[in-house]
Amino acid sequence: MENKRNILVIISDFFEKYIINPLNKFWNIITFKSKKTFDDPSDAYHHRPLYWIYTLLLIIVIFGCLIYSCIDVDFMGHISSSPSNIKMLFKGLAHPDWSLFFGYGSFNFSESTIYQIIETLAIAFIGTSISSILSLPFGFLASRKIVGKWAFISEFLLIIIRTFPELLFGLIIIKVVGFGAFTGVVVLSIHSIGMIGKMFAEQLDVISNEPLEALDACGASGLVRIKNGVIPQVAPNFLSVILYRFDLNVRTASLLGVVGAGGIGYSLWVYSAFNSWSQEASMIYGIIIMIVLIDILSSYLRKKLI
Amino acid sequence: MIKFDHVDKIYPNGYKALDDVSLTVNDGDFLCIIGLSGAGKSTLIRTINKMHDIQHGQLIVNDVDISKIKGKKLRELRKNIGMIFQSFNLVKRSSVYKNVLSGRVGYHNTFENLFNIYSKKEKMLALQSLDKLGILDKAFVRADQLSGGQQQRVALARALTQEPSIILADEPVASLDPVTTLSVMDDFKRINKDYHITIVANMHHVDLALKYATRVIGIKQGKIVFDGLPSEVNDDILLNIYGRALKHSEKLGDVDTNEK
Repeated sequence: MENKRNILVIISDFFEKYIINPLNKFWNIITFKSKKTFDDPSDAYHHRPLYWIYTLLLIIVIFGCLIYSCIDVDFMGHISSSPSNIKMLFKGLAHPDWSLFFGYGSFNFSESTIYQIIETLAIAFIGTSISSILSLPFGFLASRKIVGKWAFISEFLLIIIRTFPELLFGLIIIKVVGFGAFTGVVVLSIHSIGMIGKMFAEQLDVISNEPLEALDACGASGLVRIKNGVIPQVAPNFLSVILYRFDLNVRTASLLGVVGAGGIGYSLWVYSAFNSWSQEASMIYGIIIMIVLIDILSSYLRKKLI
Repeated sequence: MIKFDHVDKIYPNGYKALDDVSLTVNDGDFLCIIGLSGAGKSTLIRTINKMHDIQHGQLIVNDVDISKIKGKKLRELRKNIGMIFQSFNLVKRSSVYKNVLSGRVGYHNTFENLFNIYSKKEKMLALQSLDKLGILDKAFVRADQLSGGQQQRVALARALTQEPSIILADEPVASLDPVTTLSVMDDFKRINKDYHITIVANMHHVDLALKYATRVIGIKQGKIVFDGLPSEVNDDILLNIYGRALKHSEKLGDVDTNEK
């Protein structure tokens, strides 16, 4: 009987020492529950949080996802079928159709690359302008600094708008509005609100409170506060966001044509579908030139702003 | 030992911040530099660990002529000199412990630093430094959650963890309240006495400088105009350093308990 109890004690001691305590310690570490006060440096040393465990866990998770993704993506499946098309494309790229590019000879100006670039830019410009204005109320209403806890309503709407990819959005809008450039404008106007509104709200959330406090102390009302205290702080950043989105919208607008929503994308899709590679090439060059120029312009202007 | 020998410091815009400075700081000194803003106090301190280069003269720190050294030798020198800043210069988003442990970077190669490889002895040293300054309990708290005085103690602990022979302090208490100022200065004094570390500090608070220093340097337009014991500083000397007599209230840091 005595012996039996001893064995039980030994077993329970063993459990406590080698299983329960280490598990407890590990649990305390990963839940940030380390000791709050220490008797001496060596006590602190033995209870120091082991920061590397977090790093290790993070690395394991990321690598796990990477490995899983690699298994899922079939890398080698489709490579063998395309070399001849690639060859044709490069041949086209070496001999772009300049009469299509500038719209002379057998092509009208309204078919030319230049005309379509202008149309694409116009879609992006109108879309960005409209969405910037629409984003203002969304942005202000999604900022916790301005409207407090009620910000979640506008935040939620912005998330919903951002959820749809532009092309999917285009496919839906086309059913309502029909083919053509106007559809592109509608798509960009609505879709850009998701990002611009969110960025506006973020800029509003980091403004400094001190000037607002001073205005309050002068007896300013809500709208005066915004006009005199908030707008001057965020205006350059807002413009920078809008410019950046314009830059993105030019890229989007050149793709939207693929689903029939106007812009250069439609020709891009048609010429590649009919294997007209020289015509395709003149469109590709047009897009590259346009995007590079807009990119340079927008980053130059944004640098000037901030 | 720090030895300035006819040192000139000229900024690129032609401004002469140090003008023919000759000065010897002995080991174990608690040296306070006083003077107007722009007189060259910070410049003097920052030439010692070569944050600023000097143009003429010779500057010898711990038997090394620092006017020519660079690269590895410079880092070797800086390893032995702790530095304290007015705005603490902690990595605010890291824990206090990580901040203090970063005092050891001079003792490791780049690889060891990148992967945070420190010996147990060094980790203990960091915690002991925190213990010496009475903030061991804050070891694993983020630095930005501490008060100003506590943050300056963390900076001091970081300097101590370096195991330096010299600590340079550039306006160490300028952004602290009067009561915290006194306790941080007490810490400096204790470190100076107990560990025999040379301290060179520049101060706006004349009263504090006179109370804590073992030696006072007055500097005016880049020239040393006074060098002596705190007890030798009188109104004539302050008149010379500051250009006019200081009223009692202008000596600042005026929470001295001696008057009670």
